Parts: sequence; structure tokens; C-alpha cells
Amino acid sequence: MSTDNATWYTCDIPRKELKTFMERADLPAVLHIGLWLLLTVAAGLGATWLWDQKSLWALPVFLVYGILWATSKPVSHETGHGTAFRTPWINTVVYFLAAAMEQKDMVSNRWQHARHHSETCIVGKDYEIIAPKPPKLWENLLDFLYLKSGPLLLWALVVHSLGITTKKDKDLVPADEMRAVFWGARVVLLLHLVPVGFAIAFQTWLPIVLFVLPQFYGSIFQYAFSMAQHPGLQYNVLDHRLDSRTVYMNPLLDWMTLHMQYHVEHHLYPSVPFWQLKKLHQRVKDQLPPPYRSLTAVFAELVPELLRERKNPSSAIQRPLPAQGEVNASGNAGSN
Amino acid sequence: MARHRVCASAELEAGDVTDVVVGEKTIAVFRLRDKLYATDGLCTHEQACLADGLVLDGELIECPKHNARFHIPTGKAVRKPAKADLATYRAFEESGSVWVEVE
Repeated sequence: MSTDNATWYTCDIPRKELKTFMERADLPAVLHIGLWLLLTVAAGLGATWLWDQKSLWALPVFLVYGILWATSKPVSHETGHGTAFRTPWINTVVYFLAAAMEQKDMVSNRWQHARHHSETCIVGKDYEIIAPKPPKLWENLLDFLYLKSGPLLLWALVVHSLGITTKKDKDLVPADEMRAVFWGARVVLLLHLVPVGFAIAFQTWLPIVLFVLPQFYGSIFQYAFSMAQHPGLQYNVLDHRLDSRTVYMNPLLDWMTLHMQYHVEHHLYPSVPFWQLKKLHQRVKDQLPPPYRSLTAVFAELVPELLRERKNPSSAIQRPLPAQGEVNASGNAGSN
Repeated sequence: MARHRVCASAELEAGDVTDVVVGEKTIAVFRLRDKLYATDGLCTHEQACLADGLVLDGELIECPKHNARFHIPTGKAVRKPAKADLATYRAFEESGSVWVEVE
């Protein structure tokens, strides 16, 4: 199954109005991502000071720091799309930084994510399916602490640093982009090795805890957000209302996910910047399945579904479509 | 070159894009400030319809699916995942309509 003709369901919204949602600006992302960077640095400095004081308060502050560090995931996602900032070079710099914090080189990550948008939850095509059918639940549980993705991503950095093109690369990345992948991986790997070098030289774990491990001890929320986006829903369909979720979250979680909980809207309109998704949701929500009221509501439905899928891989949660939307749901692009 | 009517002049605002199907080709037609431009209308990456995208910075069109970008006057691909350039065509106004010349 493939979506090669690049048509997908979109809502009934006049182009003139849609353009207002797609318009770009620097300020909203400067404030959002700037605050994130500031808080991350502040938490890191605070944790370092408490570590130095040998205070047990260092533990919760490191946890906060790790959670902030792991927010690099939605930051790299938004800047990878190129929609977060209006100014392209700011997008690129922040994308490099955030992808490196995720242990990813930005080039291969961009191609993988482009595929995710082309072939969302199309089995065998989409490399970002985190809960295959049947699911491997222990892998999902491990990944709440980045213990599956983290080692695999570090290994990919090593492989790419050695100039090796993998089978996955051949499927995702144009051959003439591999040089950029290799050099990107070398830089990111180096950024991870430097703290290890400092740790050895100064006989302290601090650089590793600060710069290598936070994605592991801080990823729990971001992984929960990822689990809420597609798992348990229908796969191999062309309608993003059926394979993606929109979830209401409290303002803090909303901030931490960069509004990516409006995930149906994001897949319908990848050109809409993250800071406009809530407004877009308000405009088109009557054309979409009802949003989940909370992350808890998602997991209350998802966990039993994943357990069901272990025995019945064809099982899937069926999202109710509004009557008007059903008319448009046959794979045709809507009027935008 | 054959000329094909795209739309009434008033229907294409400055800084916007529309498209027209000519035979098997989709052509995107842009009005940038006071000048008209035309390019292939489907993204060279995965054929998404560029007329559904956003005109950025007065001279770029962004694909609505993967955020690839093209320089409208030259058709040059300037942001991945698009790598191949768009063909360009002559667009003009006459008798209150927008026209494009396509083989």
C-alpha cells in the first residue's frame, strides 16, 4: 500500500482562511523554544551545583533537567519541518541542536520523517511506527526510558560515522545525501564522546549525566506523547483522521509537546506551524473525530487495545467520523 | 506553445497561487507583487499539489505535504526533500484573464 499520488483527506476550509494558519513568524517560536532552552540550561546549572554540594536535591532537579532535555524531540520535529521559525537559518541551527540532543543526525532524520508523512502508519514503509501489530510491549516499556531507541540511535551514529550505508538508508535517503548523513553523524557522535572524554579525564560522571544520559532518564513524558499519536489506531489507511489522535492536555504538557497533541491537524496540514495548531483545531474540529479529553483517556483505551493486538493483530481502534467528513473520506483531497 | 486560460485576473491575488490542468500536466500560476509566474504544479518530491501550499517571502512556494520549497521565478528546488527543479512557463494577463503558455 502506498500514497504515491500524494492526496490525503483535508478539511473543508477556504484557502484564504487556511493561509492565515500557515503564515510564518519568528516570535512565537523564539518565545516558546527560547524559554525551553533557558529552562534547560537553568535546570542543568542547578543540578550541577547541587551535585557539587552532594545534595540529594540534585536527583529531582536532574529529573526536571532530563524532562526538559527530552523536549528536544518535539523541538527537532518542528524545526525539521521548517515551520517553527520564519527565518530558515534559525530553524536549521535549532534543528541541528535538538536532533543532536536526541542522538540523531538531522539529515537522515529529515528523510525518515518525510516518509512518515508520506506513508503514515503504512506497514513496511513508515519507519516511525512504534507499536507494530502485534506490538512488542516490552520494547514499548523499555522505551519509556529510551532503552530501545537510545542504543539503536547511538549504534546508527557509529555505523554512519564509519561511512556505512544501511538497508534502511537505501530505502529512505537518496544516495547523494549519504555524505551529509555520515558527516552529520560524526559531529553528533563527537558531541557525545567529548563528555565521555571529560568524564574519564576528570574522573567524574557529571559530564555523562549532563550531556549523554538525560534523554534516557527524562524521556518518559515525550514517549507517552508519542504513544498517544498513532499506536492502537488503524494502520494502512490514507485518512489521517483514522490513524492519528488529537488529545487535549493541560497547559504544561501542551507546552512540553509543542502543541503536537493536535496530531490529526498536524498530519492534515504539515505546513501549519506548531503555535497555530490549537487555533486550527478550533476551526476544523467539527470535521474531525472527537478529541481525547486527556492523556489518561488515551491510555485507558490504548493499553487494552495493545493487549488485544497481541492476540489479534488485525484489531484497531475505530475513530468515529463526523457525518460531513464521511462524504470526503474516500481518499480524495479535500477542498483547501 | 499553446495558451491556456487559468482564471479571471481578479481571482488570483498578489502573493497567492492557483493551478490549472493542461492535458496531463498540472501548472501552478503565481502572482508575486505585480508579476505572474508559472511552474509545474506538482512537487518534484512526491507530487503534492503546490497550489495548496504557502507562498513564502514573496518568491518561494512551500509544498503542503513535506515542506519542500522552490524558488518560483526559476523553479529551483531550495529545500529538501525536493531535489529536482520545477519546469517554468510563461504566464501573462490578457482580456481580464490569467493565461499560461504550455506545449
